[in-house]
Amino acid sequence: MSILDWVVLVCTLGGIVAFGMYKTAATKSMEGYFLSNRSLPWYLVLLSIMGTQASAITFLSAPGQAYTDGMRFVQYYFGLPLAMVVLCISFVPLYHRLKVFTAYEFLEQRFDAKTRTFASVLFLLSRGLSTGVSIYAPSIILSSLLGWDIFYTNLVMGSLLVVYTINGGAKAVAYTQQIQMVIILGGMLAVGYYLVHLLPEGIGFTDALKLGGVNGKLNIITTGFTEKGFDWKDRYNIVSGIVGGFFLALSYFGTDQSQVGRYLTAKNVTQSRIGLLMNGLVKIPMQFLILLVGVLLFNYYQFTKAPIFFNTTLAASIHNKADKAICEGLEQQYNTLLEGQSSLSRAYLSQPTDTIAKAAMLERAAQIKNVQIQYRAAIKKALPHADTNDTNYIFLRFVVDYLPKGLVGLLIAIIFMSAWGSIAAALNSLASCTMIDVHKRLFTYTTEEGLMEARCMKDYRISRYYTLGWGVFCIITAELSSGLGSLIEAVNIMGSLFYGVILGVFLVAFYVKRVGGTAVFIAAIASELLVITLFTLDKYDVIGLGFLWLNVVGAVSVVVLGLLCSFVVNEQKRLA
Amino acid sequence: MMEDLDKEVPVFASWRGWYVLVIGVLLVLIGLFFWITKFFA
Repeated sequence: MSILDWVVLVCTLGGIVAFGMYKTAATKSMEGYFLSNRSLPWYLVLLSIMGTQASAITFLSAPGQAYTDGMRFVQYYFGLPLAMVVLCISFVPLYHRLKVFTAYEFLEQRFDAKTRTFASVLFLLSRGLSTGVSIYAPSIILSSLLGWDIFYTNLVMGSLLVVYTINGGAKAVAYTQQIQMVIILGGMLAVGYYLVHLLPEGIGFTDALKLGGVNGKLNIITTGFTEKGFDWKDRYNIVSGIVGGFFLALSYFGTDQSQVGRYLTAKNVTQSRIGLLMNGLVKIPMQFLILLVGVLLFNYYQFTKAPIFFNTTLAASIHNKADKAICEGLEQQYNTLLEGQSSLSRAYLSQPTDTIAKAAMLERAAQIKNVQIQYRAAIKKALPHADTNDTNYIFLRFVVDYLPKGLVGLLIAIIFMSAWGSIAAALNSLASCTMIDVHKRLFTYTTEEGLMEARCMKDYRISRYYTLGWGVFCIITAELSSGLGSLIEAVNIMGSLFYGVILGVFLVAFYVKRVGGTAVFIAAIASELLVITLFTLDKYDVIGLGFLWLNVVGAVSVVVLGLLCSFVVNEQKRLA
Repeated sequence: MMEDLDKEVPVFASWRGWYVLVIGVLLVLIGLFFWITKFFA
């Protein structure tokens, strides 16, 4: 990186931390610290929701995903607007009416303490570990491409945001996310514009779409149906996107405290609702544009030499191994194939109806892809523990190699800021859940008038310590993740294993009044076992089931089993 | 209390207007994406 890039990076990140510290001194009470005194307008709620959901990996991997697999990933978000509507009808008014700090408080009022504990412990466990991984995942990519030490990259990625999150709580999280989202979206638009600008003379934006389309990158809508019927293992199609995506979004936004804590900061139900509904309106177009950057990137590399493997540091390390000759042979073959690629693409664009030109271009693309697959296999053979999926490196490789000075620093800052937005919200929610659902239940105070102020200050101080504690925990998790590649996969899977069941518990709480605490608890345990069994069967190829469907199975199973158990278990109902 | 809060609906006469808008925009986007997929395939 150039000096200008370093200046832009340090100034942007330093500015965010300073802004977070200056603008957002929290009211010294738990309501001020965790919920910003329930005072924020809808646009801050919207940006906070979006900033929490969009992690660094979202911006790193989405363009790479479109580059390799096309834009069909956008279907993953089709269930989100529907989930926003259901949340606004059912969840939001109730959370506001009960004046809860955490979603899990509601479960004790509706069911009992054990159900609340079950949900909050699952949240603390999964969110704590996944936040550690969301520090590590972008750090390993940055450190690999830029040659930074992973220990210090993790430290910077995970620690600077802790400074303002401890100080300002939920208000700091929301205000910094506002700035972060504006810079992130501005930066991505700048990259999109630059990619169109970089296309060779005579090739316009429409040509880029034509090339992307014929190469299968504009596969935005896919049905998931094959000659053998519906493919349940297919991850992204319109059916799994609407149904599975709906359950996933409902669970994430309705029951995950990192999101619930964002819209509970709104000053009233109306502001929460508008924030969520606006998220339902803008999320899909935003994701579409980010994926379009990946398609433009694909087009750019039709006219410019693309690396055979985008994790160039890993590719370079294999040259010291025994398979050097194989790799060099493949690289030579790859370079030869690339030489004619540009003219084949131009020939197709000048005569789109010419089937021979089209066939020649697609055949060349297939040959190039085949060599890349062989190259990955060679790396895997030489380095069996290496991650040979280079999707997450595609976008950043382009940024480092081709963007002008200054913009590189800004894009690196964007990666940090997108990580900080989601990590800060996670730390705030982990601290609130620990304080409200664990600490306050274990340590009960008397509430005499004269002691109230001192009590508030003590709670506030303890809440800050919990934020710091979770910050340290997540950084340690990130540091331990180095060298344990499978841990990342395990933690990501863990989220999808639990989300559906937790959602099922909340759906029963809202809509199935006859089911009590013991019945829903038994149903949740049995459903969790069912989800884990299905996941294991899928892992060993006994059945084929995309991970989005686990959310549907978990949620539906809790509702059905809860109802069945309610006929057997005799208990007094506690309705909220 | 909830009924009072529910009455505060910006732009539309009721929240149903917002819900129809969100679902309508989703359907329009799916239709647009379907057309783009077919047109450029």
